Amino acid sequence: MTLATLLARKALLIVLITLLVATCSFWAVHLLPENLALQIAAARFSGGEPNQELADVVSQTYGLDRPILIQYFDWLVRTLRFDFGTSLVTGREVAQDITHHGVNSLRTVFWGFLAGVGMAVPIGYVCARFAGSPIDTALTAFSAAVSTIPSFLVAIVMVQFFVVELGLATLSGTTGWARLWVLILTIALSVSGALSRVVRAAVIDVRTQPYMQHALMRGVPERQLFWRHGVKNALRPMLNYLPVVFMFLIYDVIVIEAVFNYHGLGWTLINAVKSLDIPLMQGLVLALVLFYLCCTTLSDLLTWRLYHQRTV
Amino acid sequence: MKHLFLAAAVSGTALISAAPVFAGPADDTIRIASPWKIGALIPSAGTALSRTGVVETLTMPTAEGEIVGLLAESWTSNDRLDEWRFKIRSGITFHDGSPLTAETVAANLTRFREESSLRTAPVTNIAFEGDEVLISLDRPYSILPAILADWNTGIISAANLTGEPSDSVAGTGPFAVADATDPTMLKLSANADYWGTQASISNVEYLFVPDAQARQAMAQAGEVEFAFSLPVTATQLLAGADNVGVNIQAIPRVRALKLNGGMAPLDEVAVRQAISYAIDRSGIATSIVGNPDTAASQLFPASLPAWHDASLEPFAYDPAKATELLEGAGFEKGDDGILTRDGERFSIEMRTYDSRPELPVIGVAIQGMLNEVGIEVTMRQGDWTVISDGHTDGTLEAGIVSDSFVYVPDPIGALAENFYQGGGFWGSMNWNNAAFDTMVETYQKTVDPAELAQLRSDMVAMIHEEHPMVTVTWYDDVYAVSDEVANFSFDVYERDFGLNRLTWATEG
Repeated sequence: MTLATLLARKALLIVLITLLVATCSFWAVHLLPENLALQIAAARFSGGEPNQELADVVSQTYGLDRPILIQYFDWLVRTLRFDFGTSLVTGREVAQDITHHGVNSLRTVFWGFLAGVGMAVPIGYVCARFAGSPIDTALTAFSAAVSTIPSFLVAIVMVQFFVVELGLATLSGTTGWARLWVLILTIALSVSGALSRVVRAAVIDVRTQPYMQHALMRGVPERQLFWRHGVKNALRPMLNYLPVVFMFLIYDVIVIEAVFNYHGLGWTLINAVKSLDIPLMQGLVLALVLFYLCCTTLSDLLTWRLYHQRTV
Repeated sequence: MKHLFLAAAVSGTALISAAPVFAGPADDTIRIASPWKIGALIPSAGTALSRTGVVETLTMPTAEGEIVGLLAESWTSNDRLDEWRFKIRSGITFHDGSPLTAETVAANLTRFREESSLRTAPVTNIAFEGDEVLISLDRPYSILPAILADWNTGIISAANLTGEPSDSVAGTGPFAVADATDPTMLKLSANADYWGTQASISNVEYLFVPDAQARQAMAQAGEVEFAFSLPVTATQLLAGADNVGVNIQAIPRVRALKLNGGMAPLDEVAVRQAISYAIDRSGIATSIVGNPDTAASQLFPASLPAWHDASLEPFAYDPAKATELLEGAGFEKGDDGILTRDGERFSIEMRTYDSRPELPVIGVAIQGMLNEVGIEVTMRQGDWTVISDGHTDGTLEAGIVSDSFVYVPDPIGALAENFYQGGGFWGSMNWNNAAFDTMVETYQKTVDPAELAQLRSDMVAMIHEEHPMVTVTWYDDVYAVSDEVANFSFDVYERDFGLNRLTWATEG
């Protein structure tokens, strides 16, 4: 496969999936609630319990009284032009809110991902190198623990311990290491759990390959052999596993940001859903899906660069 | 490979900027963790601008509930009470430097009329004349000054009335918006030109923190000076903390059992009274709400002295009396313990909604209590539109609801909306009582204080006797205040934190 066809395929996939998800989210929102305008009125004018007059004002302002198909196509056309509209709650441009919170999310996700990979690779390698030893058992138990305990629980414990008891981190603001390190550690833990198992299996697999065994018998030093011939083959399952990691990252972003009161995309999504801020909600869902698709495309490109380039 | 990672690391580093700034006495900043979102930067969008003292209203309630002038210096009305003139205080400027004029006030009231409490008043025209704002109505309306004390009628500078979303807003209050580019946070600084009591603390940061556990953790860690609407458990959890105090404040909001007064047998007063006797309010207040003091003894709590009538006999828990009343109404207990009359079982559907998490739990408790006296209750849970839609289409039989009585600081506003002419979503339903409606109308055109007091006690007594809605508990807000702050008092009208009165405790 050439780079051009790979990119074309990926681009087509991204457009189709994005449209599908966007359409689903539109219909889910517009078909479920019994009285959408009333609910928006309650969310927009917080404080007072809502009434029908206010709902009628809302309904007219946002064009909710039009036939739903017209609303859908109107929305679709605007979305395709990257016009996400304005938030019902803040009155700001949705694109502006997504950028603002997206930068915050990228900051933690990027470092959390790097730290997670940075933890998973050495852990996985050590486990494989000393497979069956007590150190392998201990690290395996650790990985199993962090990948089975839901990350919101880990996050709650982290908050209680590091923020409340020790006062080593804070829960407000969006920048600075004092704010970020616990968050990044929590994301890193959840990334590293399953990933380290994948690395362990990959390394063991490579080490037992006939060509490695053969070279070992011929007296090539193991360390030199692995780094020169093994790494590339061991990396491949890991790269293939990355899309799964990205999926978990999205889940982490939503859950962990809520617990840490960190104002990223996930936190904003939860609040947009709570207050039925439909344009913002749909914009955020699109942003998260696009983020995921771009990440997987990036990992596919990396795989292609490493393994396919020369076979063309 | 290597340069890829390097490039990624460099771009990631660029995302991380300076270290956080810690607030507190050291940098003269008050930080507030609030469950109430900021929303659009207009007064009608939420309480944030009003509570933090950015915008002010024409009038305000005193702690005793009396309406006094704020931006309006004084007001007069014609004899029929359908034309009012509010004289705007002179010499006040907005934070953007423009002067406060009657013209700006009239433009504000017109612009936000549909979105604010003004929509409940029968307003026909809003105009200005010199330094006066003229409001005409199509019937006598004595409570207009109270309506204009509601937080959503705050006044902002003419430059902010364009309808375009904005990153800032100029009001007249003791604090001015310094930075509102982050939609989840308001940074405020003291207004040096404030016409009233100057703030002694120079900065405020209002943080929107929707998660109650996060607010509690922030208060516990000393990261914020104030945290509002904490879980009830915070009183025990924070009791040991040495830097923060936890208080419980009763607010004039009720949780109540809404009944369809147009449906047999709920249309009989004796049956509604029996239901009231069957409910163990102190049990619910103690074990579900977590504060025995919230058990309601009448519609309004003592924090609204003008409306709380100490001479009324408190609601009582008396299942025997309930049974007696129901027998008197002709009901007999069947084999399964459920009452029947003329072959009809006494069975009702009760709806609850979960945006206030305790309501469904209270519903289940009441279901059990009513079952004790022989009333079968089936539950239906949804979001709160099960109440509003059921009220509108008439299918609602009973529901657990919650509402505040003081968004308009005079509870007559809420009484008129919730009990007048067949009731409202959060009050009675199909309870048509001509005598009560007449009292509401009379109240709205009366100015004599003695006469008003008499009408108040008559209206409250009538609701107390007839139970168009069965009041179950009052409400309270659990909040934490740092020991470093002095002079804070809670505003039961939920419209102003009074931040300009605060001082650092160490200074005093």
